Amino acid sequence: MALRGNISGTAMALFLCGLALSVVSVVLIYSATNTAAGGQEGLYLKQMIWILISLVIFFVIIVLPLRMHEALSYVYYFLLITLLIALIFYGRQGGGSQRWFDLGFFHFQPSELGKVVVLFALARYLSYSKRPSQQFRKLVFSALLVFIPTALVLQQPDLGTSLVYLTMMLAVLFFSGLPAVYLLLIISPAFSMITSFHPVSYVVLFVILIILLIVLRPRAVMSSAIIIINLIFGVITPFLWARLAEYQRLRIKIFLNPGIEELGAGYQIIQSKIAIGSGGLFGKGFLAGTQTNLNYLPVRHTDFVFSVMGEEFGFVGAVLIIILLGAIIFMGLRTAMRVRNKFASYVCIGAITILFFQTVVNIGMTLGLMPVTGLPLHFVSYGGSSMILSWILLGLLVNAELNWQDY
Amino acid sequence: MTNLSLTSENRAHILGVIFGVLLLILAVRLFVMQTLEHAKYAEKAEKNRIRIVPEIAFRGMIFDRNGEVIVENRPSYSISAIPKEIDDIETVARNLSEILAIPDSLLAQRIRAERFRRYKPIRIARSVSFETVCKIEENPSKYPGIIFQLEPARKYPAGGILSHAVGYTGEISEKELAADSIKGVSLGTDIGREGIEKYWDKQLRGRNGANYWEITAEGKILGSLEEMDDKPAIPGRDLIVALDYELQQYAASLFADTLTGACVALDPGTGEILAFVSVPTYDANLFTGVLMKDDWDQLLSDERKPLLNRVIKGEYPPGSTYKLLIAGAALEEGIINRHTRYAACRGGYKYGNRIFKCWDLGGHGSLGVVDAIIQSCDVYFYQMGQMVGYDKFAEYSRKCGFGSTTGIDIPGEMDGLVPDIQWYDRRYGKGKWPRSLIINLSIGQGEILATPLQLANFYAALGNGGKLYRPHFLKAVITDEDTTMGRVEIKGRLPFSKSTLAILKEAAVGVVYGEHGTARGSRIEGIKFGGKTGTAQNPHGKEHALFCAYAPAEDPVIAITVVVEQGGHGSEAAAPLASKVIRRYLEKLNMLPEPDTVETLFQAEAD
Repeated sequence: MALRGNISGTAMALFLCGLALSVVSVVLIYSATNTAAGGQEGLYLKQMIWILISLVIFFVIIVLPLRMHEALSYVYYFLLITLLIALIFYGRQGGGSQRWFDLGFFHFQPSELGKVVVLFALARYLSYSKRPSQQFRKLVFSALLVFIPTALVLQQPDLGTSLVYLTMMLAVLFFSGLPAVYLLLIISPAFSMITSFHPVSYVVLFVILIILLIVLRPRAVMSSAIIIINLIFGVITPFLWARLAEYQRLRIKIFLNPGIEELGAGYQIIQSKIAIGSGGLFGKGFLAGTQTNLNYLPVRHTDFVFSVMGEEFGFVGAVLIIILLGAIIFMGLRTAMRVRNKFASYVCIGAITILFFQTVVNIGMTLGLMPVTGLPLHFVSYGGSSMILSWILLGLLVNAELNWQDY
Repeated sequence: MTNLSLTSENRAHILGVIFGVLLLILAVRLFVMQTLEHAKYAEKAEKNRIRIVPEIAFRGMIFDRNGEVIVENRPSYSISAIPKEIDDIETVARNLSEILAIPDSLLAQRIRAERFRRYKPIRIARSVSFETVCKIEENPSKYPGIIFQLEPARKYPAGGILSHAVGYTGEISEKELAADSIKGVSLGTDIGREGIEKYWDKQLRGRNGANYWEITAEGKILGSLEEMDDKPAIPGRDLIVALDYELQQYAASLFADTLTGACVALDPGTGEILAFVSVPTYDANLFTGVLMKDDWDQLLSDERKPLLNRVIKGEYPPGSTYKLLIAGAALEEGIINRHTRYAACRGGYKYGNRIFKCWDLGGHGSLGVVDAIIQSCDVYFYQMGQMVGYDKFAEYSRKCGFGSTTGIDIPGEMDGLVPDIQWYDRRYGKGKWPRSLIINLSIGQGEILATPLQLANFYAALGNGGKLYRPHFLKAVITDEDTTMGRVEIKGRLPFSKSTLAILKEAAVGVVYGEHGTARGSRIEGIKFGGKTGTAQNPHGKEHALFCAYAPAEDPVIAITVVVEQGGHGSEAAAPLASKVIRRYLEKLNMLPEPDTVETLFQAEAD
């Protein structure tokens, strides 16, 4: 406890970063929704209420010991799976998918909270299996643990969130000491999927894979597993592609070639790039962004809130968001390294990966570097679920930071 | 395995590097877009929010030489739809279809085309009648979201009478708009398509104004843009053209409905065009607004080719009207003098095995050059033409303005054709053509082709002492501030000396006033004028009748060419017509003596 006085500096910094981003959020949502062309006024007030609720939850998370979550992690997990299945029957339809329970005052989205729940379960599992000789079993169980909720989210369908689960799993598995060859086992099917539409590159991928296997020299079972999995993914992907929702296929296509539908989803990316680019170094000023104010920028209080920042406050404002989120991520990474308890350490890695992944995907989308996946920007995008989750993740980091010696 | 040797700290560092690099990529991309590419995006953002609504400039009006309005503007209506305000596109399209005569499927498709800018008015019809607009006004519930706008359209009060001279206008196409570098044009602007409207388009067009509006993503207008001042439209300039509308009407009326042909009259002192008739004609008003396909098809399929401007695009063998030129060349080259006689005309001329007939099979006997012209003796010219030869024929023809455009200020003028040895070599192969071709050329037949305008200009030059002016319509360009006069330009001089010209003019007057003159039936009492009849071979039917003249014989004020296609002899079909036009024009100028003076004059002559 002697060192707590020093460490609380980092904890305070984490909190202040989150708070600063939340303030930015209110400012941007105010600008995005009070437009000359007509918008939904008053959303910034709602967002302030969500921030207050989130702060309460944040302090609860700080106070509750992480051991409690560790103990309850499988219970959470079981509840999550139940909710996700229930969603199939009782969920609210909207925007071509079934993601929410309509609680009257609030659309409850289990998959959002599920990011933390899956993280707890994975961290719990990995922190209890210690023997390196059981690496393969460890991998299979971890994958199973994550794939079940991922599949349930993917069928909603919600591609973005399911990618968050998978990325988080990869980072935590890597951090927990999984050998490279196992990662190869997990990641290589993704490449098989991408190249499966192009026979030549698929063959090239296979050649590279075999060379890697020869260099890394895993056991024969492992080698054959990798080969078989890649074969299966390569063959079934085109069939799965055919089964994707039209809008999902369109999004991927538009990402690959934004020109194909100037006025459709490609329109969103184009307008976002115009908003950001036209902002310049210092922006057009608060409430003075023409792209924002005249409704050229689509879904500007949620998915494209970063573009509002880019337009009205320029590079200076936009890079501030990246710096604040980056600061949280790197302070979190430091905490993960110093915290003594394995569970807490894995939770920190998972939390910052979730923050990082959504930041890159969301901002990358507004800059035209990533497809439109519908992932919100943590702390900034409008929405209760996203705001609460952001502060829960921050709370977990601060908790670990404050108690790094105890755990 | 190497991975096992990585400590958890190493692994954290690796993650840190991955996170850091990706975040840095975002920041760098952001920086590039907001600094290096800023200008590009800023321009796109401006384009997004600013709508420039053009204010169409009024085209200039056109007046004739006496101040008579020959082209003006009339109010016209265009109908537009605002998609946002139409709930049931099908029904509205059906209702509109009833009054606009446009298929409802086409209308519905037009209205649906703009998916995102749903407030933006889509123009669906131009040049709609006032009655149609009234129907929409009276029943707004039937036509929700349909608006109409007043816009100027061209009106040609002369109907078809001036169409070949004045031309018509048409809406600029998107393709032309992309190519046209002239400022102040926008979609919806009418530009000149033919005639004076096209040639003087820049003067007539004016410059469209622009109103700058700020609009939302849906196309809703928020108001006038504060940073930009609206630009008012600058109306086009008015033109005064040399045409005499009254004379034009009269000349056109002389052609019977079944005739085809041309009549062009110009002022020999300036080259100004007084009358410009090509029959049949078309109504230029058909082209303003929406040209119905049926009307267009009819114009195109008409065998008499009403769209063909015969004055500048009709190429005819000049026939005997060309004899003055040949005679001039022979006199000038010293091949003949005014007393030279050739073998007497017995109704034909034998060359090799072939007999070339004279038009008068009775024969003219032995004549000098003046009488040969007056009586249009072909046999005289067959013999003289061979002495002139191909080279001099071509040289004199070109110097007299044939074989190339006159430079008139309307588009589409044809060159005509002056054949020379090179041309025949190209056409038939070197040397593989009969030497007798010059015999036909020397009476203006064969391959030689001239437009009525070239002939009129040549006769104008004969009348004015040899000056070849550039024929032109434009007299003046008028703006509120000032008046700019059109240019009078001498393009060349006839290659004839004064004495040669005097002989040719004596002959020309003799054609009309001589005892045996071919045009003696077309005299105007009280004055003297010179002219020449012509009868041009037509491989497709009866010969074309020609008559060229200038009047009065001394200090002429009008030169004229009349062509009546398949009219037969020039003396019968063309000369009387030309004579009437001349008489009317001289009357207008008060250049004809009063009837009683005429009598005394004749008395005096008789005495």
